[in-house]
Amino acid sequence: MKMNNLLRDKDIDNLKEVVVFANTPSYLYKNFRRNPAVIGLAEKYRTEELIEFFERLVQSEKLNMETLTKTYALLFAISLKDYAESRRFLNGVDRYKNLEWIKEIQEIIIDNARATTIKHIDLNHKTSAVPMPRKVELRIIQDAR
Amino acid sequence: MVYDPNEVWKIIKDDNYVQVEQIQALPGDVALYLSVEGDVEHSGIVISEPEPHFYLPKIWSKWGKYYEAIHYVNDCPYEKSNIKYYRTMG
Repeated sequence: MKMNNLLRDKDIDNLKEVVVFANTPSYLYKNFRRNPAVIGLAEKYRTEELIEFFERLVQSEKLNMETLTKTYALLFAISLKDYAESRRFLNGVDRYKNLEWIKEIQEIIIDNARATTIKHIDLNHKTSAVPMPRKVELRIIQDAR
Repeated sequence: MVYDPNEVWKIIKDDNYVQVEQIQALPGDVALYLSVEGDVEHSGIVISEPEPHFYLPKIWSKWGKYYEAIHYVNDCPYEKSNIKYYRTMG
């Protein structure tokens, strides 16, 4: 899988600013995840492709500002995907010590993913003369670690 | 370096900081830039009283890996909609 042109130069420049100005891991988390180029990565590629790109980059030569920015972009794109698909990867991502704040970022991503809830609302009930409560089911995605 | 928002609030509490309004800001006060979610995203030291007309103090702060900068409180790359000022009472 080719990973050239994952991001346009203009997008990389915008994301570099986020990396440079970040004082906290949560600043990185919020600003990367709301960046249209990062959202575009999450929409364009499957989770396993993004993980493959990320691992190739993070294990490559010493990270310069450009590769560091791309690596963060991939990590946060992965965080936008279904947690069930990325959980195993995210649980072990803190081994990449060359990424600043990786432990804190991992915690923020996993904490926010765990907080996700899915509501199933059954709207196919039949009306009757006696008012019946609608069946509302709440399923909480539980971490299976 | 403190980057855990909880630690920042702990310092504010333990060191007896009290919140002041922007118009009352004085050199030495701390400016905290809060995100929409309420996390502390950035901080700086007030270095001048709010100037007439716009009532904006100047701040001295470190912009991540970038330089330390002196700037008007609203002239920086951080969320500016919720800035709080604190003064230590010793």
